[in-house]
Amino acid sequence: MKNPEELLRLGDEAVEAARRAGADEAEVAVTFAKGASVDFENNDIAVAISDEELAYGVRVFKNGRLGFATANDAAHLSQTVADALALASTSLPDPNNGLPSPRPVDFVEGLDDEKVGELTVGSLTRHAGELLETVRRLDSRPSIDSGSVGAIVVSRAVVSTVGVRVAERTSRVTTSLFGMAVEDGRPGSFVVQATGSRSADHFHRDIESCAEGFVAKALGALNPGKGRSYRGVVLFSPQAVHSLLVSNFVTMISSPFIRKGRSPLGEKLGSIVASPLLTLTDRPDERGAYGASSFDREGQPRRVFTILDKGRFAAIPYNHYEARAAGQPEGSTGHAQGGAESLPGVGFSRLDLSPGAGGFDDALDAAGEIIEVTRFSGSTNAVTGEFSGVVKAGFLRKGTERRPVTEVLIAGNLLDAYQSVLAVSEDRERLFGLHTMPALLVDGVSVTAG
Amino acid sequence: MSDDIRTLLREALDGHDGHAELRAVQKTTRSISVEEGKVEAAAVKRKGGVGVRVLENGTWGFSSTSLLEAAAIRRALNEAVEAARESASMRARTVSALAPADLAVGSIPNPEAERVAAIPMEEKVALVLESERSLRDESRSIRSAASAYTEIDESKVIVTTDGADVAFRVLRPEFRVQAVAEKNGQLAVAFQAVGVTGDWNCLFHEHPRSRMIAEAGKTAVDLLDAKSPDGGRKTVILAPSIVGLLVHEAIGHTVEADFVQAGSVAQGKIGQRVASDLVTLCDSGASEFLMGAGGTLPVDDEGVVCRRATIIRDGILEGYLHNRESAAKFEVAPTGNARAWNHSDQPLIRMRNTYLCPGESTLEEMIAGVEDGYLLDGPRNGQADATGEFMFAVQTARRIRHGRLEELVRGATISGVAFEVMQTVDAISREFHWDLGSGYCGKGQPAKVDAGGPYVRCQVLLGGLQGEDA
Repeated sequence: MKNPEELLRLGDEAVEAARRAGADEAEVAVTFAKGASVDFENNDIAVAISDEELAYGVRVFKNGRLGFATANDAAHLSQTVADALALASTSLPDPNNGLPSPRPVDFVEGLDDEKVGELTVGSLTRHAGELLETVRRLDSRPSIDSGSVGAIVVSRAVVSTVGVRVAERTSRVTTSLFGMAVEDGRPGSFVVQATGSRSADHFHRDIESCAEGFVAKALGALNPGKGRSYRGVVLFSPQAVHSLLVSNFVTMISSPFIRKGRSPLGEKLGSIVASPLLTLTDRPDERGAYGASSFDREGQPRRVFTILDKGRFAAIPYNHYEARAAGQPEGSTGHAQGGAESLPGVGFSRLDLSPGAGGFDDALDAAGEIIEVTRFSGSTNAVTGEFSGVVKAGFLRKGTERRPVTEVLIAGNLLDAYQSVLAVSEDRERLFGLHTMPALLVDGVSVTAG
Repeated sequence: MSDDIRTLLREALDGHDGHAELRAVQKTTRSISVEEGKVEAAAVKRKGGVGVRVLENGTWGFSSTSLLEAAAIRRALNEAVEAARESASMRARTVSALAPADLAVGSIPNPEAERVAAIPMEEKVALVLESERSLRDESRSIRSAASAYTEIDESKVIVTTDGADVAFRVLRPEFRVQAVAEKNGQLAVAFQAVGVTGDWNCLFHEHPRSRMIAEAGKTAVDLLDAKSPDGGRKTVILAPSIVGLLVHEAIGHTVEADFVQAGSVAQGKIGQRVASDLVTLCDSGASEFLMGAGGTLPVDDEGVVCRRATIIRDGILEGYLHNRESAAKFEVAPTGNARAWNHSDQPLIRMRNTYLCPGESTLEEMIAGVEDGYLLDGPRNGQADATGEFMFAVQTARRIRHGRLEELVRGATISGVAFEVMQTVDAISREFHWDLGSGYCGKGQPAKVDAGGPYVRCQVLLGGLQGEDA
């Protein structure tokens, strides 16, 4: 097992090799993952996997030119450094290229549970059996196409020639199920359910939660009927809120998207761009939380970051390059995203959309007969805000009464949708162990039923 | 990869009792992306190692190592055996046998891969820079442009205890351009992309680079003035790119034998009519009709020689896509569809090149036969369900009225249930294209696939706006 100290030493060796080879600046990101999983297929255990993998990426700058190379064998270190420098020689100079200086990192507690590393394939097999049995006990109709239970320990480090030198070890246990319910030979829509935790103590809780969520969604998608065509209010489930509304919003406000002139919100910082009911925050530093981490892909500290404050576009996330390109004197906001095998991008880790303050059920009653979007499968265009796609496992809903529907398409513009939120639910769902989202009632959506 | 690796793997398996597969993979990915005259990324990624899969006590075990060393491979082999043994007690249905297969033996040369890999990186960077610059010059309305090139150079050696012993290399270059146009504060985006298995002649043979750049620029500008379509059930002509997406996403996945066993809509339908009698659908490891299909593969990751699988013949469902385990259950021959992305991934049932066979019509005849409908081209994305229900977003939809092509519309999506839509097919063109080679199929791990076919006329549900904006 390569621990964080060993990864730091490998990083030291790599940046020194890059410096000797002529790099003006160099940064090495290293990860080592060791874990095991038991995978499902066709309602049964399919394969047990025991695995470990090293990965590292070398980013160099030479005369303001960028080069990047990766490998998964420490013996290839010299070749990888040479690859990165050779690429830099073919690239173009960019005055914003460079590496961030080190900043103090407050390490988040509770991200590593030693018991996760002690989980064997045998114990994971027992957890896998428990998950299969829980699904069967709840209902016989759901069919598991695939899924897994897994446990993994990941060490990662970032080292650079300008003094960044940080490392961290994290653990995680995961469950996932993918499949559909089948009744009288007729399958319903695909559904997916997944959980993630940092602690082995949460495995049993996660298994129950994963099975219950999977069964409820799968059964809800059985025997769908026709929907209706209209333009008006639509209910978005927490999953649809994240996948359609929030994920596109964070694309629109990401600094590369704004820099490239593609964002319709590029000039709107500080302005009201959404309903005052919406507040969106990134919470990467929650103690013991799945998805939390102490530093970003460039070794910069992570912190709570409010993106949308009661409808006002509050802040833009940056990595080091984007901060320089935007002329931000404070530099990176700690949002360099990606693994060792990719160049640092910009992104968030744990998004939190604030809950409503009441009145959701009344607004739902007042909306009349509307479509409930459980999952959105379609096309979105973050440049224009246009979206169009199919409602998966959706319902035609009137108050608390609902029936499943099929062949229903929705279309509209996200920029209008953000402004047209009528109500936010008080209840929220933790999605895949990461993002916490409420349900939203949104007006002005086109619904076309087949 | 050299014969030395084959020898190394053979020696690692020597004395192993039971079924085992060793798969040494060395993958080098070179990528360049340019936007606004700036090199956004230039990267070389090398990933390699040996994946080990064993069948022990009727249960699969898997492990991998990044080290091409005898001791590391034997350690991974032991871990895979241990993993299988530890999980065997909980498996309800054990694997009693694998289907006999045409297992590959020997070295398969690939001079095309040598040629592309030998092109200097400077030349590849220059091509991407020049493409992005040309795209910006296409129109004053182009607000931003992007261009990217990627090549995946993959060498594999597969040795199994029951006789596969093969080395081969596959190289897949991809090229894409994207334009964002602006007019009065309104934005529109369009892209063109191509991906093949082969060299640069192959890459730009069907899709000349200059034509891709011109089409991306023109489409983005034209879409600025386009309106949304009115939603409802429509007669449409699907271009080969959309046909490819349809046969891959909405039919191909439902006939993968693992999905079939889990209860997909194709379960139990062998021998039944699922499409118009004009429809014959296949999946092949070869590049049928035209060279360069992006999912071309000589041997799958179980060491089985890839062969053509006929899924639908004259409208009747004829077969599924198999690995050796599912082929044994269905008592058919394996089709060579077991594929893994990296050495550290286990093989899953995946498609390769999936296509609808050409028909007898011309595109002009098909358009002339439409009173009110759309010609749909350029998939933007798409998903499908176990039920065969699909949704595809379309880059360009052109209205057809009284047998003539008219205005462009934007933001169109189509939906339907694949086997129902296939029953409505009433015309298929002679013209055939591969058009999905730049895409990746996702099923827990990526896979390079291709899909295509002729132009197809059918009925689908078209998503659009309701009310005053329609």
